[in-house]
Amino acid sequence: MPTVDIRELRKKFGQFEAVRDATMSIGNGEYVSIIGPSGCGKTTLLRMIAGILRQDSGDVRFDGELVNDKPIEERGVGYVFQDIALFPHMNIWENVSYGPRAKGEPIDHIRAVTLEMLEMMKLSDRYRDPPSNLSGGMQQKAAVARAIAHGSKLMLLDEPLSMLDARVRSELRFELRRIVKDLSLTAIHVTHDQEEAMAISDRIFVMQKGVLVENGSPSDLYFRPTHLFTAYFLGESNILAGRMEELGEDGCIVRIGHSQLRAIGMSGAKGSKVAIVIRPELAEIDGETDDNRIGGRVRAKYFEGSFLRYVVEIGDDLFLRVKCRVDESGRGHRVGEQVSVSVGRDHVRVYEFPAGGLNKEIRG
Amino acid sequence: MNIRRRLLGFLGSLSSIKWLSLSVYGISVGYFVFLILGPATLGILSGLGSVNQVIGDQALMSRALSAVLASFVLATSVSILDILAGLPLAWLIVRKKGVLLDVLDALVDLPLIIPTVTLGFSILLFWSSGGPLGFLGLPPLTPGWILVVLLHFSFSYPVVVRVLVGKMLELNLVYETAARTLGATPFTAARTVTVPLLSSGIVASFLLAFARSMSETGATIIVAGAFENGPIFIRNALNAGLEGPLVATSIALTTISVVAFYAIKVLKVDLRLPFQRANVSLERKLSRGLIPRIGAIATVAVLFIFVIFPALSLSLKYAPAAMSGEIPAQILSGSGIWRDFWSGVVLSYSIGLIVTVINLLFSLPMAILIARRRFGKTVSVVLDSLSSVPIVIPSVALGVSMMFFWRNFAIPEFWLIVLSHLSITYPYLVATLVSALDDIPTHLEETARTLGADPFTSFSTITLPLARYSLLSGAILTFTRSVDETGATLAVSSTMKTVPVLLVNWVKNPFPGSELAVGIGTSILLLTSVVILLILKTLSRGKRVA
Amino acid sequence: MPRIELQDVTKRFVDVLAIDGISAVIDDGEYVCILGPTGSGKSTLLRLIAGLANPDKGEIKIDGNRVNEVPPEHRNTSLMPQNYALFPHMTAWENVAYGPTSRGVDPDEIARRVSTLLKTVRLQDWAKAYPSQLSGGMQQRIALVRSLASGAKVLLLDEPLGTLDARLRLDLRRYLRRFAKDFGLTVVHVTHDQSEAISIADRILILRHGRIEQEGNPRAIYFTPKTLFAASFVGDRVLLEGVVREVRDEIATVEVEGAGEIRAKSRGLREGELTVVAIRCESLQLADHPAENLNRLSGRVIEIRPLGAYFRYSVELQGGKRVYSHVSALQALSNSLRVGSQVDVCFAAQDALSYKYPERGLALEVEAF
Repeated sequence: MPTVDIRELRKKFGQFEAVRDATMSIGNGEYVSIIGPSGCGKTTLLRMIAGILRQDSGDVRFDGELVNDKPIEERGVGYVFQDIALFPHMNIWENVSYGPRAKGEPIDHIRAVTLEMLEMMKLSDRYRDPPSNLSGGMQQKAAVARAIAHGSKLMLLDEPLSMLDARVRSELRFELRRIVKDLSLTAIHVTHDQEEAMAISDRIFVMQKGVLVENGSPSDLYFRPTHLFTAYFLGESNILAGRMEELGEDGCIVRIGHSQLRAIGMSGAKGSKVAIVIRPELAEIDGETDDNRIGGRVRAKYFEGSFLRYVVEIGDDLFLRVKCRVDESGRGHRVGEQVSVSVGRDHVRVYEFPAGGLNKEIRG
Repeated sequence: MNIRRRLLGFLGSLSSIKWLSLSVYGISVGYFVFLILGPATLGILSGLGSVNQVIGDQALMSRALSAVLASFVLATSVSILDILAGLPLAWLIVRKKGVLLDVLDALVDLPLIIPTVTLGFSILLFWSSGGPLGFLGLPPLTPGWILVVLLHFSFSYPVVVRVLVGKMLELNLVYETAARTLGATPFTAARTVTVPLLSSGIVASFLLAFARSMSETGATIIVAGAFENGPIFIRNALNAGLEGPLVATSIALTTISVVAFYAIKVLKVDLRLPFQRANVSLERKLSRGLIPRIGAIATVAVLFIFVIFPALSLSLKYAPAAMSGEIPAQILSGSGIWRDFWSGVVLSYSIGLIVTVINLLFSLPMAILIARRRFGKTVSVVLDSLSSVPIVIPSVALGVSMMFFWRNFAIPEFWLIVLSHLSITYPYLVATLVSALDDIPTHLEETARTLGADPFTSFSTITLPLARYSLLSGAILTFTRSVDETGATLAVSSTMKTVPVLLVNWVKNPFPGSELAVGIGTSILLLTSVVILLILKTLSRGKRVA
Repeated sequence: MPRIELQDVTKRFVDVLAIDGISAVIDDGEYVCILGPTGSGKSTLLRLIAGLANPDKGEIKIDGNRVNEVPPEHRNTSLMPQNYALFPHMTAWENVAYGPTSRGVDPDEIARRVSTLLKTVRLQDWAKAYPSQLSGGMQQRIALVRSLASGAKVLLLDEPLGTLDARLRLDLRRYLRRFAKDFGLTVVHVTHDQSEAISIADRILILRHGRIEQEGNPRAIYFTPKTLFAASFVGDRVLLEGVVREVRDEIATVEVEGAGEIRAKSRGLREGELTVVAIRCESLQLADHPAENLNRLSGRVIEIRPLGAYFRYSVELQGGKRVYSHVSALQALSNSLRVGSQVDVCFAAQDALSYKYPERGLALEVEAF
């Protein structure tokens, strides 16, 4: 039996449809994230699950029980806020112990569970400090401790890391996952940072304009996205317009500019306009695979730390971005050099070309 | 157009000259110290000699002391009552939604727009003519301390509610939501998180109500009967020509007010009730169901019975009378007593206008000094505190002090009144301006500077437009406060009668038809206030800044 | 001639030393990123250059002239704060025109400048819109041309991409640089995001506690961080603590706790000293047939997480220490490693940088939360 079951949740603000028919099932112990651009409705969805916002229609069930009419404090969820929201007039101890105190738990239990949480978050020596004395990362850890301390098994995290420095973010995200897994909690984590979602989730839900577009494991969504928006939003993608030339059982052949590519495709009419997606890191310059080879000229080269980004012109006004690992000694390819870009057939994905045009489809 | 640009450009380049802008600030601080603060506080000291009159006289002493004590007890208890009644109402207005609450929100302001003298008379009418008390089988109230309490409660109530609503709106809802997600019932969340976070707001509204109660004179005279608090005693002493008790009581009153005011401000009042663990079943009952509903009804009932109906009773009684017979003609032609009325109106309004303009000019640099911390944080805090001193001083004591200070200078009575009004309205204007400036993020002005705008240009093109509405409302509040002002005016004026002074006289020295005249006169005042406020509300509905 | 020169600049706020003796030179047309954690003093530095704050000590020179006492409106710089600070009561057009209007430029010239600039950023149809009607990306573009219109040659950007979605941030990174280069501006761009700095700067200044930790071009910073802090701040690295056993030809042999012996690049370390060795995660390869001269540490794969362009392999070494290897997606998809697989973690000595063990302890030094 799934721990969280949501059916056809809807929410409208005036004329604006924030969430449309959201349906999702989350199993016990899963760490799930909901990703999407700002304003796509993910926070609204989370708030409805928590009971902070009341849905217009649809059901929310925890462990099979309908909770639509249950007030926030009776739903038993731990909520972590984007702006941390530690009570400024209480110190860390009082913050973390707030839940058990507010629920009237016995004093011994309050002390025990608070101590345990502080230990776990390595905040034991800061318990007397007011929140403002702690760094952003530590404050958020305290907030997480507080959310867990009151005994809930379901954690809802609303962009918990977006207020923090990039460095802190990239370390704290793994911490979050570790804590949730160690304690066997279930977590729903909302974020606009797809790197973050990839790093911590068992499963990712992609949301666009109030609709849950698709969901799957990070690998599945990354290497085999079923929707164009997912391909765009998760990681980087080259998205080019092309035409379907031939359709076969296990693949298809498409044309971009002067090149023909073997690809994995959807069903589509021969001759129809299609959107072709190639991830920059799945293409190689002078690689080994023979599936596809496209000739082109390096137009630009950028150093980005652990990789080099090449912009290769493969046709009239057609550019392919390719990411290659950096070799400190070797200098890679020069701008102006003629190169051959190779891509495996599995990594050329074809989608129906959106009616309203590419820009509208992915950027809205 | 070209000349205007050149002028602005000239002023702009001047503002870049450091010593020039420094002297502008210097002048504004000097204005404050020598014209506002100094005379209001120090003048009284020149009359120190006459205090001997009081010290010798046992009866007079005890009477003076009990008057001062009465003021203090009155102010404290009324302020606490205001907060106890105002907090739930502020809660309802901010947290609940609905048309009904929008109506309540607008109604709360009613006593604020009514000149206090009018309010006093209205309250007298409401409670002494039977009405609700007759309903319950109780005898009507006569002038005395009970009426004073009811009066002070109702005129401070809107202020308290406004401040609390403002602070609650500023308070980020996320804390209460966080508490709820942690399992706290709405009542528990409110008392453990929201109320403590509102501490500063509760203290601020307490202090405002306290200061108003200590200060108020005109309306109190109308309803006091034999009751004597500080301001009434001072007025009685004035009328009897006894300078000694006058000075002594003024000093005592001022000292207590100032000390109490700043003591409370400095003491970090922490409104946190101990919270080891919640009594869940009890708090749950308090959060949902019958009890909170009854509480809400009671809160609204208090609003209507003690604030709204009393405030309205005046116009309800006299409006029809004012329309009948020859009376309208008499009023409009200015015959008999109405001549005094209209000259009083002219006097009040011209004083109001002059006071507003002068204060606006001189308080603006001061407000900038404080809000933008031009000379550092400490200076700002000190100036901010000092600028609220005139509010804390009971207005009649302030008037007395002014009178003593300026009597060596042979200043005409008109200007004496103007000076007192300047002093009394200054803190309100500065506070409004500082708050408006605080709302404008500094990085807007800074960005303007880095784009090439000198300080004056940045101020006139960025700050001023964004603060326009607060400026306007501050000016209008200053004007109405000046027109409303009674206490100090009573102290400094002997021949000139502003409208409130005139009305108080009519009540205290009745003549045939005086009750009707007071009723009509106060109604006219009410009407003009309503018109002014409507203008303000329509103007502020204009462009709202994101 | 250098555009901006800072000579031994110091700034104190009551009890905090925000800037502690910074000297730097920024050339005309350079795109410089100031990189550092929150609280390192980066925004203060920007404000000092803009003239919104004055240094307690030291000199600031712009175009060769000392500007310490010069007010902001007379400097040639324009500051764009994190949320752009578009004037909410003015339209996009009025915002862009603000600079030249304040400087008394001829109205016809202003009109010409503004309309050209709006066309450049493709927002000419939004001239009459108010900031609240514009999206985040659009607001940023208006803010940029507003700075440009004022005639400033130096653009000071305070976390310009901070408020944007991660996706949008990536998209707009390049835009900023291109914009600056197209218009020949000198840019000082403050950020806490090292991947941002690495990808768009000509030169990076790493700031920490009000001092410059290191400066150099992105490659230099990335491959040869001079201090342990810089090494931990830029790029993803594994940190191994150990003791130096031997030093020869600038290569140190280090015994790492829980891992074994490795060879690393040494700069001035001595035998017996405690050290921390930093290795970029992408330098740690999980090879089947490693070359002879590489360091080899045996271990077991305990987790494999696909992070998109690369996979993160968590490997527990025989001694118990855990390291992370970043393997490119293509390689990961084709290798046969699974959770539980025995593996050799290999890396070249050249890719392992050793530093003196910090006095304050490792955690405090790299400011791990």
